[in-house]
Amino acid sequence: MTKGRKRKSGSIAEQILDPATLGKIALWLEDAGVDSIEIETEGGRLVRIVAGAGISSDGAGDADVSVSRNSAKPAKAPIAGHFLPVHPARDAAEATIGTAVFPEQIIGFLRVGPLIMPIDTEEAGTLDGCVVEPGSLVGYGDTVFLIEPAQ
Amino acid sequence: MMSTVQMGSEGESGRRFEKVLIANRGEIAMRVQRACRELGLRTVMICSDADRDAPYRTTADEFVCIGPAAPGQSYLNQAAVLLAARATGAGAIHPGYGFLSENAGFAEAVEAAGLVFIGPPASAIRTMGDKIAAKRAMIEAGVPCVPGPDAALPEDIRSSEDIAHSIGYPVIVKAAGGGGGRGMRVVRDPAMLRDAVLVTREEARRAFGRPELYMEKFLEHPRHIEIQVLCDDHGNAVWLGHRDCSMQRRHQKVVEEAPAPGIAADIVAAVGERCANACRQIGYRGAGTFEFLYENGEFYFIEMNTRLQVEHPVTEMTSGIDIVCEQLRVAQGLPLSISQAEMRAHGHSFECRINAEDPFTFAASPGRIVAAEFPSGPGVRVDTHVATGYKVSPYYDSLIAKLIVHAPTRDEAIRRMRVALADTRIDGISTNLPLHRELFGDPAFCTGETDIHYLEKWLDERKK
Repeated sequence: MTKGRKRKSGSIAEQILDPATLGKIALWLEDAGVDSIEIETEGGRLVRIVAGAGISSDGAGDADVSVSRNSAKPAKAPIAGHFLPVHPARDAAEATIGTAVFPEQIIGFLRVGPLIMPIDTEEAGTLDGCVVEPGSLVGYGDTVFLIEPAQ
Repeated sequence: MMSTVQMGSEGESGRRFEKVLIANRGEIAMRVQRACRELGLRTVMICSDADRDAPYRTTADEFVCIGPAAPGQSYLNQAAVLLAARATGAGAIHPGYGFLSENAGFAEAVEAAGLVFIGPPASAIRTMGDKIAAKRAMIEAGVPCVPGPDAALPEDIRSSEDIAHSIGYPVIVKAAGGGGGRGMRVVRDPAMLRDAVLVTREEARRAFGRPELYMEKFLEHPRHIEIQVLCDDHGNAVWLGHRDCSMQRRHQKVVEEAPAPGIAADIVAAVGERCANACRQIGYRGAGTFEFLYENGEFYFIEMNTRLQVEHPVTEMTSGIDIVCEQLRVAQGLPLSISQAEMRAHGHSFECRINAEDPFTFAASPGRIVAAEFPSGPGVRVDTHVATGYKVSPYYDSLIAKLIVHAPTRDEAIRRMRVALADTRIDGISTNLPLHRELFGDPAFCTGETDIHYLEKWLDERKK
């Protein structure tokens, strides 16, 4: 994988998180033959942008972009199953990226045949990102979400 | 010799599957995966937290972690395995050896979930898991057994004394639910029988959950001989030859060879035919192994392993049959690809089990392999999952590779193994390679026909 690496200020990093900007950068990378780029801030924030298709503008759950802080904690799959960001019987997710979560809050689901198993949080914080694609197979202990712990 | 029938199509019994979950780890997981790939079957490899870097993750169609490193929470966790099969859409489960491979309840659960268990019916696993029931079934099928009743020892100690007297000392008292060398005690003196029965019964109750014991004649200098069988759902059962697995330490096999040296072909053939007949009688399906003690020209059945065995490659080398592919065919409801009349054994094969352990104290030696080199060349096969950089986990069996050779004669196979062992290098951890190198220079071993106590005595002598 070809990889570019560049330092940016925190404010610029915040601007880059705009979905439209992410999409543009991804296309530029693809045109330049670069697979991905990581942008790191002095505050420890890391943004990785992957070139090519799959960039979407409706949030981290559907985007081919992972966003994390160095201090973010993983929320892991309790069993093997297919990841569902939204319960099949509901219209909306239990929690969205950027919102506050509390301990043992359900933030996603795993489907195993007819079974729907919850993924929940261990501690309070801010839901910082989702690192797997909806519908993809995840195993026991695989990181599904990242949570920035409450101060 | 193998059929080229494409798998994944409807078998004759309708047990269709196109994706196999391999419920195991290490070299046998890779071995089964290779057979699946050859037959065009997709594979789901499971792992524990400790095996996330397993090399077969890259060749699996799907690779999924099912639990923590402890076997009870991953490879022995029936619910986790079944959920993984459900999540991945696997149509069949191959259990490999060890772990859940001889668990009749698991085989039933797999079938109840609408999946195919790649192994015998649960009823056959259950019968053969009960040593008394197995012995009874073998006697009915005409398979020679060790002298002793095919019934549990009565509670009354005087009755046990009468049975021992009728068999003749020395006798061995065994747990009906035991295996792997556990739950047994040799009695040479009638005065020791009472304590032996009481202690073994308590051990059996604690270790195996059932206190039933049985008694047999104790053979002083037997060899451990096995007969490999394959059966299908169409009434076909074949035996693929015999193996000598006498080179053991604490009931753990160290070197295996096929065929067993010095046993007349007609004697083996008569026993092999009875084993195949026994399989037909009990409705057996898949691969299995009849284990015998052999002494003074006589075979004595001890148990049947209702699964693939670690040492199956030596029989593959001499028979030319891919036993795992046959398991997969049979599980699909297809007939065996070979008949007994077509079966021919060629040459001689040895297998050395390379373990991550001190070669002479046998203490486990987990850690990172900093350099691994394996031999190659005509008649050399290495079944392994390790390579340079691999981290040997402390959680599981210490077997890290099987070094297998095949040559036209036993002497040539010995020479080939010596070179293969010399060309094998594993640095960073201790292995039993030095033990194998010494064994393949030992005159008695090289002559052949050593008994099951030889290696223990050899090790004792070496210490002096």
